[in-house]
Amino acid sequence: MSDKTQVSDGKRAATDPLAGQAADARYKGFNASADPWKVIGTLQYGEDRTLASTVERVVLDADASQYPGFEKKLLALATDPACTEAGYGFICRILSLIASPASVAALKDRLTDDNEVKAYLTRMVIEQVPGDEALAALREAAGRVKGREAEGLIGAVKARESSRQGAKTF
Amino acid sequence: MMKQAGAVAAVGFPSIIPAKVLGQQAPSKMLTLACVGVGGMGLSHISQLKAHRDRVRIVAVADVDIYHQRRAVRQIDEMNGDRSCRMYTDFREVTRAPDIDLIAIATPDNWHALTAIDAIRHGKDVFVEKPLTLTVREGQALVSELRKHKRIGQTGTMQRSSEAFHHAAELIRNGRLGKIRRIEVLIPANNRHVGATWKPEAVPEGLDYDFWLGPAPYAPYTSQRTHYQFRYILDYAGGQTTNWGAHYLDIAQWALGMDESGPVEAEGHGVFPSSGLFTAPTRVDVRYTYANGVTMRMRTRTDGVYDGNIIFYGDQGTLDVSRSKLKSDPEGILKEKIGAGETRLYKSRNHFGNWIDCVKSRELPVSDLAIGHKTTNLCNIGNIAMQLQRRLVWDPVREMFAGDDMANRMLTRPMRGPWSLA
Repeated sequence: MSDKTQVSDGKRAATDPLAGQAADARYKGFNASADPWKVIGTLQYGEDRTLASTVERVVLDADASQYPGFEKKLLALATDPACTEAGYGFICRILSLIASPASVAALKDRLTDDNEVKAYLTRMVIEQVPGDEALAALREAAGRVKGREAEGLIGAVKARESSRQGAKTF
Repeated sequence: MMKQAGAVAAVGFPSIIPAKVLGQQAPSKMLTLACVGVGGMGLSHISQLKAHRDRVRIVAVADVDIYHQRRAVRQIDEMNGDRSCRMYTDFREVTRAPDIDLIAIATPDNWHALTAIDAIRHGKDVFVEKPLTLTVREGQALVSELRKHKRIGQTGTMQRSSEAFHHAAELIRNGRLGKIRRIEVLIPANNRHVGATWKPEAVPEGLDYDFWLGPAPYAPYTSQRTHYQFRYILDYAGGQTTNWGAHYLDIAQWALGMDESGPVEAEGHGVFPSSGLFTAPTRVDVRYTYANGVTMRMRTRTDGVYDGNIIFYGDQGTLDVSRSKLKSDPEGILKEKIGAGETRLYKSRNHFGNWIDCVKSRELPVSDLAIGHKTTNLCNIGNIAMQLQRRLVWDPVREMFAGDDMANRMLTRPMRGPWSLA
């Protein structure tokens, strides 16, 4: 089943009475688009984000078994040279909810991106991934980055290490 | 890093000795306070503090907008009768100042935890506007630091200092409605609206926009993003779910005796904008279930009234309370007295006054930050439930969802450098 057909039956409208016609109309646009996923990557700040929001909705509604496929698709968009800063931000927000070590491997070099906006957005994804790969990537980047993101990375590493040691947070 | 010490500071600097130098019970008994965030809510703080100027002197403000700083300082100087109030852009100038005892925080929500934690770590007692924090994890860190440093922290859920809400909660706690079955909460609809698109604009002179964004992801400036309207953008706040929910869900928690706990399930069906600048739900609809079977539904009201409302349904009556009314069915319930030996709830009749009393006595205030944290959890898990549009099982002790990794990831948000809770 393709990702597009996941919502082509207007599932949201049927199950969410508050969303109603607005959601139905949104999915019609989504289904009419040749490649709604690709739209996210070229998003500009302030532009209509209806299709991008619909992609996000698809991910939020999906079964966890679908996450690896979505992650692969989002990583391809994120690493596409045509990806805009705003698009990268939207992708990273979605990825942060489903990312696995595969995202760490694909994105870790971007933790030290000269563009501090993108470097932070990358950390937004990697910080959410459990496991040693993410901690290693954060630690390695913290040793190399200068500027405002250095402190963000150090804070992320400290939080991870504290959590790992079983420190009581509350 | 002093970015901007107020020029007015040089005009006159009275020799107020902070209470901590002499002890809270020192003869002067004058506490010194700084306001961080002096937009609309910060000005309200200043007005409310006027009634306590025999015990508290506002000596400084911090705000990322110089126009806010100047407006607030004018008001404070007039109140103090001199021109000594200092003004800063960077809140750390006041949270770390040795001559300041207290910090009152009314910044956008994404700044609450960072500012309060920095103040607490530097020995200040804090008043933090509601909703207490942007995320559950921020709330945990804030309460942990409060206790570790033995500071006094009041959440701005001021309905706990209202006679009507106090009376309602005491009646319910003492069983005057019988067993509570369900609760209905209505909150106002959004009072600001924007289009489906927006254009980046030049940052106005006097606004340190990067500091305004703080720990939130970078986004270009547009005037519709910042003052007041930030509350409808999930990067900085939680919409009316947290803005009004923080007040009315707090009363439910109080009346149910759930200040140290919370519901065990949340299910939401909110409507979120699919385009445009705003991202918080435009229509809220969340249903919470407590372990004892009590259900609570919070919805956006459709009658245009800009106030909340909470109705408790028990098996012996109902009670309806808001800022403008208190009524019961049967009517006689409201006239009942709470007798000796019955449960009496913490009584405060002035929210800032209670905080100042507690700063002096070192007792817990009526809306201690730990209580504010538990209430804010309801707001935040409500937003998460609406975003995910599925039933979520919540552990109110461990403060985690059961079996939903995506929902658990939404309990925290990585902060943009250089900001962090570490």
